[in-house]
Amino acid sequence: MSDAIVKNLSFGKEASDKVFAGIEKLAKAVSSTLGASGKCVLLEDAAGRPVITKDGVSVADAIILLDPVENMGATLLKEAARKTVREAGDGTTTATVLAHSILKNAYAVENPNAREIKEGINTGIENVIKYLDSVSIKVDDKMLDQIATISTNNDPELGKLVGDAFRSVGNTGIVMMETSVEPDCSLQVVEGVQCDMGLTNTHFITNQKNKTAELENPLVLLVESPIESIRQIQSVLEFVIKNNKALLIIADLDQTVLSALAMNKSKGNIKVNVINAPTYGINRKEIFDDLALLTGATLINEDLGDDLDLIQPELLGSCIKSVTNHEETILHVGETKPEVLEIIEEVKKSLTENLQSNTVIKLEKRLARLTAKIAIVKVGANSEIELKEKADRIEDAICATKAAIKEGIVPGGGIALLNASYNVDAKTLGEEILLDSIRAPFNTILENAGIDVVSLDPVSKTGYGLNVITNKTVNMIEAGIIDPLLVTKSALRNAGSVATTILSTDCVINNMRM
Amino acid sequence: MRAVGKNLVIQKIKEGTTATKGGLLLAESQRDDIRYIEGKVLHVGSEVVGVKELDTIFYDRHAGHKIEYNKETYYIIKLTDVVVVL
Repeated sequence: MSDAIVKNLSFGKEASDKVFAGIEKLAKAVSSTLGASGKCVLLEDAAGRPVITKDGVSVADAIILLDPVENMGATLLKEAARKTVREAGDGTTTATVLAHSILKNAYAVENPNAREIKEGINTGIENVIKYLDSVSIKVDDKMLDQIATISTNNDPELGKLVGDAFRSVGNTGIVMMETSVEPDCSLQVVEGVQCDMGLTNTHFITNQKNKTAELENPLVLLVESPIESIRQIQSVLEFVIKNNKALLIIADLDQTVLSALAMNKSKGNIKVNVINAPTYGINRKEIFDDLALLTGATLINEDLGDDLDLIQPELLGSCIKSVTNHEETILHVGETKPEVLEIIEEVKKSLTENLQSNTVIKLEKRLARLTAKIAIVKVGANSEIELKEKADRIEDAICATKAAIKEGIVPGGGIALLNASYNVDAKTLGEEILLDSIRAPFNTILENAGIDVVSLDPVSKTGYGLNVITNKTVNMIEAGIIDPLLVTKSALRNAGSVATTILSTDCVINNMRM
Repeated sequence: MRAVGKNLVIQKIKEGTTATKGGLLLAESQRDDIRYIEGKVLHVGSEVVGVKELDTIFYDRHAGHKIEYNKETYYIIKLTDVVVVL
Protein backbone atom coordinates (compact mmCIF):
# COMPACT_ATOMS: atom_id res chain seq x y z
CA MET A 1 0.00 0.00 0.00
CA SER A 2 2.81 2.34 0.95
CA ASP A 3 3.91 3.14 -2.60
CA ALA A 4 0.42 3.53 -4.00
CA ILE A 5 -0.32 7.05 -5.15
CA VAL A 6 -3.35 8.61 -3.55
CA LYS A 7 -5.86 9.80 -6.11
CA ASN A 8 -8.21 12.71 -6.13
CA LEU A 9 -11.54 12.39 -7.90
CA SER A 10 -13.66 15.15 -9.36
CA PHE A 11 -17.01 14.69 -11.05
CA GLY A 12 -19.48 16.43 -13.33
CA LYS A 13 -19.42 20.16 -13.53
CA GLU A 14 -16.59 20.54 -11.06
CA ALA A 15 -14.39 18.28 -13.19
CA SER A 16 -15.26 19.78 -16.52
CA ASP A 17 -14.90 23.33 -15.19
CA LYS A 18 -11.37 22.63 -14.10
CA VAL A 19 -10.37 20.83 -17.27
CA PHE A 20 -11.85 23.71 -19.26
CA ALA A 21 -10.01 26.25 -17.11
CA GLY A 22 -6.74 24.59 -18.11
CA ILE A 23 -7.74 24.61 -21.76
CA GLU A 24 -8.74 28.24 -21.55
CA LYS A 25 -5.38 29.23 -20.08
CA LEU A 26 -3.47 27.39 -22.77
CA ALA A 27 -5.71 28.67 -25.56
CA LYS A 28 -5.38 32.23 -24.35
CA ALA A 29 -1.60 32.07 -24.37
CA VAL A 30 -1.37 30.34 -27.73
CA SER A 31 -4.10 32.32 -29.48
CA SER A 32 -2.32 35.62 -28.88
CA THR A 33 0.16 34.57 -31.57
CA LEU A 34 -2.49 33.94 -34.24
CA GLY A 35 -2.73 36.04 -37.35
CA ALA A 36 -0.79 38.79 -39.01
CA SER A 37 -1.05 40.97 -35.94
CA GLY A 38 -0.30 38.12 -33.57
CA LYS A 39 1.97 38.90 -30.69
CA CYS A 40 5.15 37.27 -29.56
CA VAL A 41 5.31 35.31 -26.34
CA LEU A 42 8.27 35.66 -24.02
CA LEU A 43 8.90 32.48 -22.12
CA GLU A 44 11.50 31.03 -19.84
CA ASP A 45 12.97 27.73 -20.93
CA ALA A 46 13.94 24.85 -18.64
CA ALA A 47 17.37 26.37 -18.06
CA GLY A 48 15.86 29.75 -17.14
CA ARG A 49 16.86 31.46 -20.37
CA PRO A 50 14.33 33.75 -22.02
CA VAL A 51 12.94 32.68 -25.40
CA ILE A 52 10.82 34.86 -27.66
CA THR A 53 8.55 32.99 -30.00
CA LYS A 54 5.55 33.35 -32.25
CA ASP A 55 5.36 29.65 -32.81
CA GLY A 56 2.30 28.03 -31.29
CA VAL A 57 3.99 24.73 -30.49
CA SER A 58 6.80 26.35 -28.54
CA VAL A 59 4.30 28.32 -26.51
CA ALA A 60 2.13 25.29 -25.85
CA ASP A 61 5.12 23.16 -24.92
CA ALA A 62 6.24 25.70 -22.37
CA ILE A 63 2.97 25.54 -20.46
CA ILE A 64 2.65 23.26 -17.46
CA LEU A 65 -0.08 24.22 -15.03
CA LEU A 66 0.10 23.85 -11.28
CA ASP A 67 -3.38 22.44 -10.80
CA PRO A 68 -3.25 18.79 -11.89
CA VAL A 69 -6.74 18.68 -13.39
CA GLU A 70 -6.25 21.93 -15.27
CA ASN A 71 -2.93 20.57 -16.46
CA MET A 72 -4.63 17.46 -17.82
CA GLY A 73 -6.93 19.65 -19.90
CA ALA A 74 -4.01 21.67 -21.20
CA THR A 75 -2.05 18.51 -21.98
CA LEU A 76 -4.92 17.01 -23.97
CA LEU A 77 -5.11 20.17 -26.01
CA LYS A 78 -1.37 20.17 -26.58
CA GLU A 79 -1.71 16.65 -27.91
CA ALA A 80 -4.19 17.85 -30.54
CA ALA A 81 -1.89 20.71 -31.46
CA ARG A 82 1.13 18.46 -31.76
CA LYS A 83 -0.71 15.98 -33.89
CA THR A 84 -1.68 18.78 -36.25
CA VAL A 85 1.93 19.80 -36.59
CA ARG A 86 2.98 16.23 -37.25
CA GLU A 87 0.41 15.89 -40.01
CA ALA A 88 0.58 19.29 -41.61
CA GLY A 89 3.63 21.00 -40.21
CA ASP A 90 1.70 23.98 -38.95
CA GLY A 91 -1.67 24.93 -37.52
CA THR A 92 -0.98 24.48 -33.82
CA THR A 93 -2.57 27.73 -32.95
CA THR A 94 -5.60 27.17 -35.14
CA ALA A 95 -6.16 23.72 -33.64
CA THR A 96 -5.88 25.11 -30.13
CA VAL A 97 -8.26 27.97 -30.79
CA LEU A 98 -10.75 25.66 -32.48
CA ALA A 99 -10.74 23.05 -29.71
CA HIS A 100 -11.19 25.74 -27.11
CA SER A 101 -14.07 27.33 -28.92
CA ILE A 102 -15.86 24.03 -29.58
CA LEU A 103 -15.67 23.21 -25.88
CA LYS A 104 -16.74 26.68 -24.87
CA ASN A 105 -19.82 26.56 -27.08
CA ALA A 106 -20.64 23.00 -26.07
CA TYR A 107 -20.42 23.77 -22.35
CA ALA A 108 -22.72 26.75 -22.84
CA VAL A 109 -25.57 24.44 -23.84
CA GLU A 110 -28.10 23.86 -21.10
CA ASN A 111 -28.97 20.26 -20.24
CA PRO A 112 -26.67 18.89 -22.87
CA ASN A 113 -26.81 15.42 -24.30
CA ALA A 114 -23.10 14.72 -24.66
CA ARG A 115 -23.53 11.83 -27.08
CA GLU A 116 -25.74 13.76 -29.48
CA ILE A 117 -23.48 16.79 -29.38
CA LYS A 118 -20.48 14.64 -30.02
CA GLU A 119 -22.09 13.03 -33.03
CA GLY A 120 -23.21 16.40 -34.34
CA ILE A 121 -19.71 17.83 -34.03
CA ASN A 122 -18.25 14.88 -35.91
CA THR A 123 -20.73 15.06 -38.79
CA GLY A 124 -20.29 18.84 -38.79
CA ILE A 125 -16.54 18.45 -39.20
CA GLU A 126 -17.01 16.13 -42.15
CA ASN A 127 -19.41 18.62 -43.78
CA VAL A 128 -17.00 21.50 -43.25
CA ILE A 129 -14.13 19.47 -44.67
CA LYS A 130 -16.25 18.65 -47.72
CA TYR A 131 -16.91 22.35 -48.13
CA LEU A 132 -13.22 23.21 -47.74
CA ASP A 133 -12.28 20.60 -50.33
CA SER A 134 -14.73 22.16 -52.75
CA VAL A 135 -13.35 25.69 -52.36
CA SER A 136 -9.66 24.82 -52.27
CA ILE A 137 -7.49 25.68 -55.24
CA LYS A 138 -4.30 24.18 -56.56
CA VAL A 139 -1.06 25.96 -55.95
CA ASP A 140 0.99 27.44 -58.74
CA ASP A 141 4.56 28.64 -58.55
CA LYS A 142 3.61 32.26 -58.01
CA MET A 143 1.63 31.51 -54.89
CA LEU A 144 4.47 29.78 -53.08
CA ASP A 145 5.79 33.07 -51.74
CA GLN A 146 2.45 34.02 -50.24
CA ILE A 147 1.97 30.65 -48.63
CA ALA A 148 5.40 30.74 -47.11
CA THR A 149 4.95 34.35 -46.05
CA ILE A 150 1.83 33.64 -44.07
CA SER A 151 3.54 30.85 -42.18
CA THR A 152 6.54 32.96 -41.34
CA ASN A 153 3.99 35.17 -39.58
CA ASN A 154 4.00 37.66 -42.43
CA ASP A 155 7.62 38.20 -43.10
CA PRO A 156 7.64 38.72 -46.88
CA GLU A 157 11.40 38.51 -47.08
CA LEU A 158 11.60 35.09 -45.47
CA GLY A 159 8.49 34.01 -47.38
CA LYS A 160 10.14 34.87 -50.67
CA LEU A 161 13.22 32.95 -49.63
CA VAL A 162 11.23 29.82 -48.86
CA GLY A 163 9.23 30.27 -52.06
CA ASP A 164 12.44 30.58 -54.05
CA ALA A 165 13.69 27.45 -52.40
CA PHE A 166 10.66 25.44 -53.52
CA ARG A 167 10.71 26.91 -57.01
CA SER A 168 14.37 26.16 -57.47
CA VAL A 169 14.05 22.47 -56.69
CA GLY A 170 10.73 21.77 -58.36
CA ASN A 171 8.20 19.28 -57.16
CA THR A 172 10.59 16.46 -56.42
CA GLY A 173 13.12 18.55 -54.59
CA ILE A 174 13.60 18.73 -50.91
CA VAL A 175 13.82 21.96 -49.02
CA MET A 176 15.79 21.98 -45.85
CA MET A 177 16.67 24.48 -43.22
CA GLU A 178 20.00 25.05 -41.67
CA THR A 179 21.26 27.63 -39.23
CA SER A 180 24.20 29.66 -40.36
CA VAL A 181 26.65 31.94 -38.64
CA GLU A 182 26.07 34.79 -41.09
CA PRO A 183 23.68 37.51 -39.99
CA ASP A 184 21.54 37.21 -43.14
CA CYS A 185 19.31 34.47 -44.45
CA SER A 186 20.24 33.00 -47.78
CA LEU A 187 19.38 30.23 -50.14
CA GLN A 188 21.66 27.57 -51.43
CA VAL A 189 20.59 25.23 -54.18
CA VAL A 190 22.59 22.12 -54.55
CA GLU A 191 22.43 20.07 -57.69
CA GLY A 192 23.64 17.01 -56.04
CA VAL A 193 23.72 14.72 -53.13
CA GLN A 194 24.18 15.81 -49.62
CA CYS A 195 25.45 13.33 -47.07
CA ASP A 196 26.05 13.79 -43.38
CA MET A 197 29.70 12.97 -43.50
CA GLY A 198 32.12 15.76 -42.77
CA LEU A 199 35.83 16.45 -42.81
CA THR A 200 38.05 13.72 -41.47
CA ASN A 201 41.27 15.69 -41.36
CA THR A 202 41.88 19.43 -41.45
CA HIS A 203 44.78 18.93 -43.86
CA PHE A 204 42.30 18.16 -46.62
CA ILE A 205 40.90 21.70 -46.46
CA THR A 206 41.43 23.57 -49.72
CA ASN A 207 39.28 26.62 -49.11
CA GLN A 208 40.71 28.20 -45.99
CA LYS A 209 38.07 30.92 -45.80
CA ASN A 210 35.11 28.58 -45.70
CA LYS A 211 37.07 25.76 -44.12
CA THR A 212 35.94 23.36 -46.78
CA ALA A 213 37.69 20.67 -48.73
CA GLU A 214 36.78 21.08 -52.37
CA LEU A 215 37.68 18.88 -55.28
CA GLU A 216 37.00 19.64 -58.93
CA ASN A 217 36.00 16.66 -61.10
CA PRO A 218 37.15 14.11 -58.57
CA LEU A 219 37.14 10.39 -59.15
CA VAL A 220 35.19 8.64 -56.44
CA LEU A 221 36.34 5.53 -54.63
CA LEU A 222 33.68 3.73 -52.63
CA VAL A 223 34.89 1.07 -50.26
CA GLU A 224 32.59 -0.69 -47.85
CA SER A 225 35.21 -2.64 -45.94
CA PRO A 226 37.60 -0.77 -43.65
CA ILE A 227 40.96 0.26 -45.05
CA GLU A 228 43.68 -0.50 -42.55
CA SER A 229 46.79 0.08 -44.55
CA ILE A 230 47.82 2.56 -47.20
CA ARG A 231 49.08 -0.36 -49.27
CA GLN A 232 45.50 -1.45 -49.87
CA ILE A 233 44.76 1.66 -51.88
CA GLN A 234 48.28 2.28 -53.14
CA SER A 235 47.52 1.30 -56.72
CA VAL A 236 44.48 3.57 -56.86
CA LEU A 237 46.44 6.46 -55.41
CA GLU A 238 49.28 5.97 -57.83
CA PHE A 239 46.85 5.91 -60.73
CA VAL A 240 45.38 9.21 -59.57
CA ILE A 241 48.78 10.81 -59.10
CA LYS A 242 49.98 9.65 -62.49
CA ASN A 243 46.92 11.02 -64.27
CA ASN A 244 46.85 14.19 -62.20
CA LYS A 245 43.26 13.68 -61.09
CA ALA A 246 41.51 14.45 -57.83
CA LEU A 247 40.21 11.59 -55.71
CA LEU A 248 37.40 11.47 -53.21
CA ILE A 249 37.52 8.43 -50.99
CA ILE A 250 34.35 7.39 -49.20
CA ALA A 251 35.39 4.69 -46.77
CA ASP A 252 36.42 4.07 -43.20
CA LEU A 253 40.15 4.64 -43.10
CA ASP A 254 42.53 3.74 -40.34
CA GLN A 255 44.21 6.73 -38.70
CA THR A 256 47.59 5.82 -40.17
CA VAL A 257 46.13 5.70 -43.68
CA LEU A 258 44.52 9.08 -43.13
CA SER A 259 47.77 10.64 -41.97
CA ALA A 260 49.62 9.15 -44.94
CA LEU A 261 47.08 10.75 -47.27
CA ALA A 262 47.22 14.02 -45.35
CA MET A 263 50.97 14.06 -45.78
CA ASN A 264 50.71 13.46 -49.53
CA LYS A 265 48.03 16.11 -49.76
CA SER A 266 49.88 18.75 -47.77
CA LYS A 267 53.02 18.17 -49.83
CA GLY A 268 50.96 18.85 -52.93
CA ASN A 269 51.55 15.35 -54.20
CA ILE A 270 47.91 14.40 -54.64
CA LYS A 271 44.50 16.06 -54.70
CA VAL A 272 42.51 13.95 -52.30
CA ASN A 273 39.75 14.14 -49.75
CA VAL A 274 38.41 11.45 -47.49
CA ILE A 275 35.00 11.19 -45.93
CA ASN A 276 33.83 8.44 -43.70
CA ALA A 277 31.58 5.71 -44.92
CA PRO A 278 27.88 6.17 -44.12
CA THR A 279 27.09 5.41 -40.51
CA TYR A 280 26.36 1.91 -39.45
CA GLY A 281 22.78 0.77 -39.47
CA ILE A 282 20.13 -0.48 -41.81
CA ASN A 283 20.55 2.47 -44.15
CA ARG A 284 24.27 2.02 -44.60
CA LYS A 285 24.11 -0.27 -47.57
CA GLU A 286 21.34 1.78 -49.14
CA ILE A 287 23.32 4.98 -48.93
CA PHE A 288 26.34 3.22 -50.39
CA ASP A 289 24.26 1.89 -53.25
CA ASP A 290 22.78 5.30 -53.94
CA LEU A 291 26.19 6.93 -53.92
CA ALA A 292 27.44 4.24 -56.27
CA LEU A 293 24.51 4.86 -58.61
CA LEU A 294 24.92 8.62 -58.62
CA THR A 295 28.68 8.68 -59.08
CA GLY A 296 28.87 5.62 -61.28
CA ALA A 297 31.36 4.01 -58.94
CA THR A 298 31.43 0.31 -58.16
CA LEU A 299 31.17 -0.41 -54.48
CA ILE A 300 34.19 -2.38 -53.35
CA ASN A 301 34.11 -4.69 -50.38
CA GLU A 302 37.25 -6.63 -49.56
CA ASP A 303 35.27 -8.76 -47.13
CA LEU A 304 33.39 -10.11 -50.12
CA GLY A 305 36.52 -10.98 -52.03
CA ASP A 306 37.20 -7.78 -53.97
CA ASP A 307 40.87 -6.91 -54.07
CA LEU A 308 41.81 -3.26 -54.05
CA ASP A 309 45.21 -4.13 -55.52
CA LEU A 310 43.55 -5.34 -58.68
CA ILE A 311 41.20 -2.40 -58.96
CA GLN A 312 40.72 -0.97 -62.43
CA PRO A 313 40.18 2.73 -63.09
CA GLU A 314 36.72 2.03 -64.47
CA LEU A 315 35.57 0.93 -61.02
CA LEU A 316 36.02 4.49 -59.86
CA GLY A 317 33.08 6.85 -60.09
CA SER A 318 33.19 10.54 -60.72
CA CYS A 319 31.35 13.74 -59.99
CA ILE A 320 31.56 17.37 -61.01
CA LYS A 321 32.55 18.73 -57.66
CA SER A 322 32.68 17.74 -54.05
CA VAL A 323 32.49 20.15 -51.16
CA THR A 324 33.06 18.96 -47.62
CA ASN A 325 32.72 21.08 -44.54
CA HIS A 326 33.02 19.99 -40.94
CA GLU A 327 29.66 18.26 -40.88
CA GLU A 328 28.55 17.32 -44.35
CA THR A 329 29.60 16.64 -47.89
CA ILE A 330 27.83 17.79 -51.00
CA LEU A 331 28.49 16.02 -54.25
CA HIS A 332 27.55 17.84 -57.42
CA VAL A 333 26.66 15.21 -59.92
CA GLY A 334 25.87 15.56 -63.56
CA GLU A 335 22.71 14.55 -65.34
CA THR A 336 20.56 11.90 -63.76
CA LYS A 337 20.97 8.51 -65.33
CA PRO A 338 17.96 6.48 -66.49
CA GLU A 339 18.55 3.74 -63.91
CA VAL A 340 18.51 6.38 -61.22
CA LEU A 341 15.22 7.73 -62.56
CA GLU A 342 13.76 4.25 -62.28
CA ILE A 343 14.69 4.00 -58.63
CA ILE A 344 13.35 7.50 -58.03
CA GLU A 345 9.97 6.39 -59.39
CA GLU A 346 10.06 3.35 -57.12
CA VAL A 347 10.79 5.41 -54.03
CA LYS A 348 8.05 7.89 -54.94
CA LYS A 349 5.60 5.04 -55.30
CA SER A 350 6.39 3.61 -51.92
CA LEU A 351 6.15 7.12 -50.47
CA THR A 352 2.52 7.33 -51.53
CA GLU A 353 1.78 3.89 -50.11
CA ASN A 354 3.65 4.30 -46.87
CA LEU A 355 2.26 6.44 -44.11
CA GLN A 356 4.39 5.48 -41.14
CA SER A 357 6.30 8.56 -40.21
CA ASN A 358 9.70 6.96 -39.72
CA THR A 359 9.51 5.12 -43.03
CA VAL A 360 8.38 8.30 -44.73
CA ILE A 361 11.35 10.20 -43.32
CA LYS A 362 13.66 7.45 -44.51
CA LEU A 363 12.12 7.42 -47.97
CA GLU A 364 12.13 11.19 -48.25
CA LYS A 365 15.78 11.24 -47.36
CA ARG A 366 16.49 8.65 -50.00
CA LEU A 367 14.46 10.62 -52.50
CA ALA A 368 16.42 13.72 -51.68
CA ARG A 369 19.63 11.83 -52.21
CA LEU A 370 18.55 10.48 -55.55
CA THR A 371 16.65 13.37 -57.08
CA ALA A 372 19.87 15.20 -56.54
CA LYS A 373 18.41 18.62 -56.03
CA ILE A 374 18.35 20.22 -52.67
CA ALA A 375 17.52 23.73 -51.62
CA ILE A 376 18.96 24.73 -48.31
CA VAL A 377 17.55 27.76 -46.59
CA LYS A 378 20.31 29.12 -44.44
CA VAL A 379 18.94 31.01 -41.51
CA GLY A 380 21.03 33.74 -40.07
CA ALA A 381 20.39 36.25 -37.35
CA ASN A 382 22.21 38.67 -35.13
CA SER A 383 21.54 36.90 -31.86
CA GLU A 384 20.91 33.39 -30.64
CA ILE A 385 17.39 34.32 -29.56
CA GLU A 386 16.52 35.87 -32.90
CA LEU A 387 18.00 32.88 -34.69
CA LYS A 388 15.88 30.40 -32.78
CA GLU A 389 12.76 32.45 -33.39
CA LYS A 390 13.49 32.86 -37.10
CA ALA A 391 14.34 29.19 -37.49
CA ASP A 392 11.02 28.20 -35.91
CA ARG A 393 9.10 30.32 -38.38
CA ILE A 394 11.05 29.17 -41.41
CA GLU A 395 10.55 25.58 -40.38
CA ASP A 396 6.80 26.27 -40.18
CA ALA A 397 6.85 27.92 -43.57
CA ILE A 398 8.67 25.04 -45.21
CA CYS A 399 6.18 22.56 -43.78
CA ALA A 400 3.19 24.70 -44.71
CA THR A 401 4.40 25.19 -48.26
CA LYS A 402 4.96 21.46 -48.56
CA ALA A 403 1.40 20.92 -47.32
CA ALA A 404 0.03 23.48 -49.76
CA ILE A 405 1.75 21.85 -52.72
CA LYS A 406 0.24 18.56 -51.59
CA GLU A 407 -3.45 19.48 -51.17
CA GLY A 408 -3.97 23.04 -52.32
CA ILE A 409 -4.92 26.18 -50.45
CA VAL A 410 -7.96 27.94 -49.03
CA PRO A 411 -8.53 31.60 -48.11
CA GLY A 412 -6.53 32.40 -44.98
CA GLY A 413 -7.09 34.56 -41.97
CA GLY A 414 -9.80 32.20 -40.73
CA ILE A 415 -11.99 33.16 -43.69
CA ALA A 416 -12.27 29.65 -45.12
CA LEU A 417 -13.71 28.36 -41.88
CA LEU A 418 -15.83 31.48 -41.48
CA ASN A 419 -17.33 30.99 -44.95
CA ALA A 420 -17.90 27.35 -44.14
CA SER A 421 -19.85 28.29 -41.04
CA TYR A 422 -22.29 30.29 -43.16
CA ASN A 423 -22.40 28.02 -46.18
CA VAL A 424 -22.80 24.68 -44.49
CA ASP A 425 -26.24 23.89 -43.11
CA ALA A 426 -26.59 22.71 -39.56
CA LYS A 427 -29.15 19.98 -38.95
CA THR A 428 -28.48 19.19 -35.31
CA LEU A 429 -27.42 21.02 -32.18
CA GLY A 430 -23.93 19.51 -32.40
CA GLU A 431 -23.44 20.72 -35.94
CA GLU A 432 -24.64 24.15 -34.92
CA ILE A 433 -22.10 24.22 -32.10
CA LEU A 434 -19.35 23.27 -34.48
CA LEU A 435 -20.30 25.87 -37.09
CA ASP A 436 -20.38 28.55 -34.42
CA SER A 437 -17.02 27.43 -33.14
CA ILE A 438 -15.16 27.53 -36.42
CA ARG A 439 -15.58 31.29 -36.53
CA ALA A 440 -13.16 31.48 -33.62
CA PRO A 441 -9.90 31.66 -35.58
CA PHE A 442 -11.28 34.60 -37.59
CA ASN A 443 -12.45 36.36 -34.44
CA THR A 444 -9.15 35.76 -32.70
CA ILE A 445 -7.18 37.19 -35.59
CA LEU A 446 -9.30 40.35 -35.55
CA GLU A 447 -9.03 40.56 -31.78
CA ASN A 448 -5.26 40.32 -31.98
CA ALA A 449 -5.33 43.16 -34.48
CA GLY A 450 -7.51 45.18 -32.15
CA ILE A 451 -10.49 45.27 -34.53
CA ASP A 452 -14.05 45.03 -33.31
CA VAL A 453 -15.55 41.81 -34.64
CA VAL A 454 -19.14 42.99 -34.62
CA SER A 455 -18.50 45.96 -36.88
CA LEU A 456 -17.82 43.65 -39.82
CA ASP A 457 -20.23 41.92 -42.07
CA PRO A 458 -18.45 38.69 -42.85
CA VAL A 459 -21.32 37.03 -44.64
CA SER A 460 -21.28 39.38 -47.58
CA LYS A 461 -18.82 37.73 -49.94
CA THR A 462 -17.29 34.32 -49.88
CA GLY A 463 -13.53 34.42 -50.00
CA TYR A 464 -13.38 38.06 -49.00
CA GLY A 465 -12.07 39.23 -45.67
CA LEU A 466 -10.23 41.92 -43.86
CA ASN A 467 -6.52 42.37 -44.32
CA VAL A 468 -5.63 43.21 -40.73
CA ILE A 469 -2.43 44.94 -41.76
CA THR A 470 -3.89 47.36 -44.29
CA ASN A 471 -7.36 47.37 -42.75
CA LYS A 472 -8.99 46.85 -46.15
CA THR A 473 -11.47 44.27 -47.30
CA VAL A 474 -9.83 42.14 -49.93
CA ASN A 475 -10.17 38.91 -51.84
CA MET A 476 -8.07 36.81 -49.53
CA ILE A 477 -6.50 34.53 -52.10
CA GLU A 478 -5.67 37.37 -54.47
CA ALA A 479 -4.20 39.32 -51.59
CA GLY A 480 -2.04 36.36 -50.73
CA ILE A 481 -3.71 35.65 -47.42
CA ILE A 482 -4.00 31.91 -47.62
CA ASP A 483 -3.76 28.72 -45.62
CA PRO A 484 -2.76 25.31 -46.86
CA LEU A 485 -5.87 23.12 -46.97
CA LEU A 486 -4.06 20.31 -45.21
CA VAL A 487 -3.27 22.55 -42.26
CA THR A 488 -6.83 23.77 -41.88
CA LYS A 489 -8.24 20.29 -42.28
CA SER A 490 -6.03 18.59 -39.79
CA ALA A 491 -6.35 21.44 -37.29
CA LEU A 492 -10.12 21.01 -37.48
CA ARG A 493 -10.04 17.23 -37.22
CA ASN A 494 -7.66 17.14 -34.29
CA ALA A 495 -9.43 19.94 -32.47
CA GLY A 496 -12.74 18.13 -32.93
CA SER A 497 -11.29 14.87 -31.74
CA VAL A 498 -9.87 16.25 -28.52
CA ALA A 499 -12.93 18.41 -27.85
CA THR A 500 -15.41 15.57 -28.26
CA THR A 501 -13.28 13.31 -26.08
CA ILE A 502 -13.25 15.88 -23.31
CA LEU A 503 -16.99 16.49 -23.74
CA SER A 504 -17.80 12.87 -23.11
CA THR A 505 -15.78 12.87 -19.90
CA ASP A 506 -17.57 13.14 -16.60
CA CYS A 507 -15.04 12.06 -14.04
CA VAL A 508 -11.42 13.13 -13.64
CA ILE A 509 -8.97 11.23 -11.48
CA ASN A 510 -5.65 12.80 -10.70
CA ASN A 511 -2.66 11.98 -8.52
CA MET A 512 -2.60 13.85 -5.24
CA ARG A 513 0.29 16.30 -4.93
CA MET A 514 1.79 16.28 -1.45
CA MET B 1 84.63 -1.61 -30.31
CA ARG B 2 84.55 -5.21 -31.50
CA ALA B 3 81.50 -7.44 -31.84
CA VAL B 4 81.58 -10.83 -30.08
CA GLY B 5 80.52 -14.25 -31.46
CA LYS B 6 77.64 -14.13 -33.90
CA ASN B 7 76.72 -10.52 -33.15
CA LEU B 8 76.97 -7.65 -35.61
CA VAL B 9 77.15 -3.92 -34.93
CA ILE B 10 75.13 -2.08 -37.54
CA GLN B 11 73.76 1.34 -38.27
CA LYS B 12 70.20 1.80 -39.54
CA ILE B 13 69.92 3.54 -42.85
CA LYS B 14 67.18 6.15 -42.44
CA GLU B 15 65.48 7.03 -45.65
CA GLY B 16 62.78 9.31 -44.34
CA THR B 17 59.85 9.96 -46.61
CA THR B 18 60.20 8.36 -49.98
CA ALA B 19 58.06 8.14 -53.03
CA THR B 20 56.92 4.86 -54.48
CA LYS B 21 57.50 4.16 -58.14
CA GLY B 22 53.99 5.36 -58.81
CA GLY B 23 54.71 8.63 -57.03
CA LEU B 24 52.96 8.04 -53.73
CA LEU B 25 54.81 9.54 -50.79
CA LEU B 26 55.24 7.28 -47.80
CA ALA B 27 56.84 8.18 -44.51
CA GLU B 28 59.10 5.75 -42.66
CA SER B 29 56.32 4.72 -40.29
CA GLN B 30 53.91 4.13 -43.16
CA ARG B 31 56.21 1.53 -44.63
CA ASP B 32 56.28 -0.66 -41.54
CA ASP B 33 54.48 -3.42 -43.38
CA ILE B 34 57.86 -4.13 -45.00
CA ARG B 35 59.58 -6.53 -42.59
CA TYR B 36 63.22 -6.32 -43.77
CA ILE B 37 64.97 -2.98 -43.74
CA GLU B 38 68.38 -1.74 -44.79
CA GLY B 39 71.39 -1.39 -42.50
CA LYS B 40 75.14 -0.84 -42.76
CA VAL B 41 77.49 -3.29 -41.04
CA LEU B 42 80.15 -1.63 -38.90
CA HIS B 43 81.67 -4.59 -37.06
CA VAL B 44 81.20 -8.34 -37.23
CA GLY B 45 81.88 -10.94 -34.54
CA SER B 46 84.50 -13.62 -34.95
CA GLU B 47 81.92 -16.34 -35.71
CA VAL B 48 80.11 -14.35 -38.40
CA VAL B 49 80.36 -15.79 -41.88
CA GLY B 50 79.06 -14.36 -45.15
CA VAL B 51 78.85 -10.75 -43.96
CA LYS B 52 81.77 -8.42 -43.70
CA GLU B 53 82.32 -4.91 -42.44
CA LEU B 54 80.83 -2.03 -44.50
CA ASP B 55 78.38 -4.40 -46.23
CA THR B 56 74.86 -3.11 -46.77
CA ILE B 57 72.36 -5.66 -45.56
CA PHE B 58 68.65 -6.28 -45.17
CA TYR B 59 67.70 -7.41 -41.70
CA ASP B 60 64.57 -8.00 -39.62
CA ARG B 61 63.15 -4.64 -38.49
CA HIS B 62 62.04 -6.10 -35.18
CA ALA B 63 65.42 -7.62 -34.37
CA GLY B 64 68.23 -6.28 -32.22
CA HIS B 65 68.64 -3.62 -29.60
CA LYS B 66 70.35 -0.28 -29.32
CA ILE B 67 73.64 0.48 -27.68
CA GLU B 68 75.21 3.84 -27.10
CA TYR B 69 78.94 4.25 -27.58
CA ASN B 70 80.83 7.54 -27.74
CA LYS B 71 77.46 9.34 -27.79
CA GLU B 72 76.46 7.48 -30.95
CA THR B 73 73.70 4.87 -31.10
CA TYR B 74 74.20 1.60 -32.93
CA TYR B 75 72.17 -1.57 -33.26
CA ILE B 76 73.33 -5.02 -32.26
CA ILE B 77 71.73 -7.84 -34.23
CA LYS B 78 72.43 -11.54 -34.56
CA LEU B 79 73.69 -13.15 -37.74
CA THR B 80 70.36 -15.04 -38.09
CA ASP B 81 68.50 -11.72 -38.41
CA VAL B 82 70.41 -10.86 -41.57
CA VAL B 83 68.69 -12.09 -44.71
CA VAL B 84 70.33 -10.37 -47.67
CA VAL B 85 73.70 -8.82 -48.39
CA LEU B 86 73.67 -6.28 -51.17
